[in-house]
This record gives sequence, C-alpha cells and structure tokens, in this order.
Amino acid sequence: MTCEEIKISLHDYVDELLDAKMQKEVENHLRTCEACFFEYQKLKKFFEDLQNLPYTINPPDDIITLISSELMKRSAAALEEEPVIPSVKIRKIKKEQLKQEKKLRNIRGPRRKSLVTKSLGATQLSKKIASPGRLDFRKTILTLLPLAIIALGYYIYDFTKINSPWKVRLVQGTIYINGRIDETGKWEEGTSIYTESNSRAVVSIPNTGRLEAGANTFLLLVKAKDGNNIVKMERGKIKIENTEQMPDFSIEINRKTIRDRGGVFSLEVDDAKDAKINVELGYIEINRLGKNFYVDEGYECNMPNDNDVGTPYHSTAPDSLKKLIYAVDYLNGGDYAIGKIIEISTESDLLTLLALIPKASESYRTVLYNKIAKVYPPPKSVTMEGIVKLNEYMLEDWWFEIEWQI
Amino acid sequence: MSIENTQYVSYLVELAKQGRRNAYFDLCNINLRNVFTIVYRLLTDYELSKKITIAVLLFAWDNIKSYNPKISFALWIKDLAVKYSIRELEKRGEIKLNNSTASNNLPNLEYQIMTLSNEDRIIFVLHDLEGYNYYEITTFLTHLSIDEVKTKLISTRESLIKQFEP
Repeated sequence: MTCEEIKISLHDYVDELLDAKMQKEVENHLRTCEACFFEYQKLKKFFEDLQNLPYTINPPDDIITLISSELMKRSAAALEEEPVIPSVKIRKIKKEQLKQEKKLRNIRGPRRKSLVTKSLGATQLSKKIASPGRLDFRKTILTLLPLAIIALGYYIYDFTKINSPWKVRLVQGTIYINGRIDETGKWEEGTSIYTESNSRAVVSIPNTGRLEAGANTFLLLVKAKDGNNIVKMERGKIKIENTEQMPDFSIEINRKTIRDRGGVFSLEVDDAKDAKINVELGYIEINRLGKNFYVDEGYECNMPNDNDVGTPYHSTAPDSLKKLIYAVDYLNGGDYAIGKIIEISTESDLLTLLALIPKASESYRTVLYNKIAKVYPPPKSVTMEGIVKLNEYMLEDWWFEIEWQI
Repeated sequence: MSIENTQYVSYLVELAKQGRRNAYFDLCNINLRNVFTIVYRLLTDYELSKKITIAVLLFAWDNIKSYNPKISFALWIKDLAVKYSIRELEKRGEIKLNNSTASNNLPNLEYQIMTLSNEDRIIFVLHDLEGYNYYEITTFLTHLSIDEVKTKLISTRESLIKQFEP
C-alpha cells in the first residue's frame, strides 16, 4: 500500500472498519513509515480530544417547566384530571438518566472507545520507530514545560476542591476535635472527632448532607474534597441524612468502604469493631476487597470485623431468619440453612434471597432464582443460566430492577 | 445502534401509551439531556435548541402510540430529534454562531465543530459524537450516498485536525 492509500485507510482503521488482513497491512506500514505514523498519531490525538468533550450539555433550567405546561395544555381536553407534577421518584429518575447515558455512551462509536482505551498498541509502534539519539536539553525542556504547566494547573484545580473545615454543631455534652475540647465548631481534614458519653454532635458534609454522631463515637476525616469526601469510623454510632441526590461521601471501616448513594442510613461500630448498618431510605454500596454489595432501604446488614459482609436482611425479618442467615454467612450453614430460609422467607425478603445466590450450591441457586422470579421477573438482560453461573452483571442488574420496584 | 429499554422505561412507556402524562413526564426527564445535547450540537443555537427540544418531546407524546418497543425509547426519541433538527436547518440555511454566553463558554474543539457548515456538522456530530454509522446517516441525509458521507467526514476530520495543529 502506498502512503496515500494508507492516509485514507487510517480513518477506516481508527473506525475499526477494516478486515483483519487490511488492518495488519496498515499496522505493518505504520511500523515502517514515520510520516504515516505521524498522521496516525494526529488522528489519535484528535479522537482523544473528542473523547474529552462533555458527553451531554446542560439544557436550560426552565425547559422542563415549559414541557410540563405544554403537556397540560395539550391534555386539557382529556378526561382525566391527572396533574403534571415532577414525580416523587426523583432518585429513580436520576438513576435511570445515568443508566440511559451509560448505555448510549457505550454505543457512541467503537473507535473512540478503542482508541482511548486500547490505544491500538501505539506504544509498541512508537517503540519500534523511535531511533536512539543524543539527549537534546532544549527539546527536553520544551517537552517537559507543558507537562509542568499541566501539573501545576491540576494542582491548583485540585486545591480549589478542598472543602474542609466541615462545620460541627454540638447538640449536647462534650466533643473533642483532635484531642481538645472543641470551641471552634470546625473539623479539618486529617483530624479526629470524639464525642463523650451522653454527647451528640451534627456535622455538615459539603455536597452530601448531615452526619449525626452519637455518644462515644470516634471519627477521622481522611479526605475533604469535592468529589472525594472520606471519613474513617473507629467506633460509635452515626446517622447520615442526605440532602443531595448524588452525594460524594464514603465511610471506611476495617477494610470496608461504604459508599453513600443517597437517602438515610445509620451505622454502628462496637469496641470489637463489628459493624452493623441500617438503611432507612435509598440504598448504600459496600465495597470489600474489590467486591460490591448493596443494601436497600428497609434492610440491615452485619459487617463483623475482618470478615465478609453479611447477607442483608429486612428490618422486619423474624429472629429465626436472622439466625439462619448468620449460620449461612459465618457457620457453614450451607444449603440446609438456605433451604430453611427459602421456606420461611416472604416477599419482603427477596433481596436477601438474591444476595444468598452466590452462597448456595448450583441446584439451590435455581430454587432461589425461581422463587424471586415469581414476584420480580428478571429484566431481559438477565437469564437463569447467567444467575446460576453467578454472572456479576446479571446479579447487579436484577438487584437494581427489584430495588426500584420495592 | 441497538440498546434495550430497561424494565422501568418499558413500564413508563406502557403507562404513557395509556395516556398517563406523569409517566411521559418521567420519560422526558430521563431523556432530556441526551435530546437537548444532540439538538444543540446540530443547531448550534441555544435558544432555538430549547424550542426544538420541546417540539420533539411534544411530538413524541402525540405519537407515542406509534412507538415500537423493538428499538429503545432513547434511540427513537433521539432519531426524532435528529430529523426535527435537520428539517429546521433546511428551513433556516446556514446558521451563524452568535456570541451568546452559551457558545462563549464552549471548549475550543466544540466551538470549531459548531462553526462547520450544516452538512459537515450533521455528518460529524452523528458519526463521531453520537455513534451513527454511514448507512444510518444516509437515512437522514437522503440526497447523499454512503461514499459521499464518508468522504465528507474524512475531510471534516482533517480540517479540524489542521486547525489544532501547532
């Protein structure tokens, strides 16, 4: 192939429209022709810039009101008297928006994804082309200068995101910030807060909501930055109430991270560092060793020190069910206990049954699948085979489908 | 391009087909950003895009019964937005980018895309930003063949690359 032909084929190459043979031919040419490789790099850089464009643009604020009033006008003749008001399921809508955007982004053209993630082995290509030469200090400085400017820019940008100190309000008793009785009402990043017995304090978490710390609670403010707010909890009891739909707040307890996903939840850690979480509204996500667990509203979950995250159970579940769950989680209860759980579980325990699937044998997974599917049929993307084979995406998809219906 | 409706969207669509405005309003909320973005990138005028976005969403409400759930609702409504926007561009001819606050705050590359001629911009936005393939683009621009679309796209990409060359 000539350089002119390659130049045209490069577009098909980055669009992944070439067959394997042609693709190889282009790659071979790029390895040997510096001019064409330069053209390829320009194209690649262009797609990287394109990738950095915002995926969506904010519509005008009043557009939704205008649509609503137009819909009202059009439906004036209709018989029903259904008022057009923004749905109370705002959280659900927000989640659905994100899902929809994620799906559309995935089909936004394979070339952009592959170019940025796979980079088409560009490093290997450039390695083969680059010829060894003497170090040119002027060139080196010119190359490093933009990097230094970018690094400085990033540092300044990062600095503007710091949101500490957080405001603390004493409700009763005494609180200590970094070991001293607090009089300032300010909690800085890297410092601790401790409430004495019979004490209570409320902390405002920027972009999230409020954290209420009960008596004998010890917390450390690990990170206080917009987009990354982290508190480490050593012991005590806290309650989080979100005022934002998309909070950016996490709590760390013994190698587990609890990510706030909106709503209201409380967390208790005892002196043995065993933790328990109770979700009143919304849901939370727990991450342990790279694995995600979800706890939905109305559910509770135990997190023993240095042990796996327990199976979530409904707050109204009877003690007998809780004992059986404990047996499955920590006493090798296995299929026998799972069988008993299936027998006594009701409709409100279906997320518990879903969480038990990875802990059951294959035959019991089918039983669990059928019991859940009777009430909440799985979405199209979820199959019985996938669930039995413990496909993580399917388990997660089904969880979210059940969650919004509950 | 193919994606499926989630169960929740299918449920809202069913209710909307039965005439439930609240359900349709939720669908509008879910798809608003995507619809507005494509309309704005095609029309380049913030105020006009607002008007067209509203028109598209109302047209979709009027015609919700003709929606076939074999394609996702998000893509159906996006296709409507593309058709509406192209029709608007045909009516108005080349649109001059005004110096509104919206366009002043755009990233440089986004601004350059908006200064492309109508046809070049439609092809570029649909292919490189929205993931439509050449064949799908010819269904919107029926006077062009696949080869013509491809040639125009390549030359647009090259002209944009040139503008950002040091």
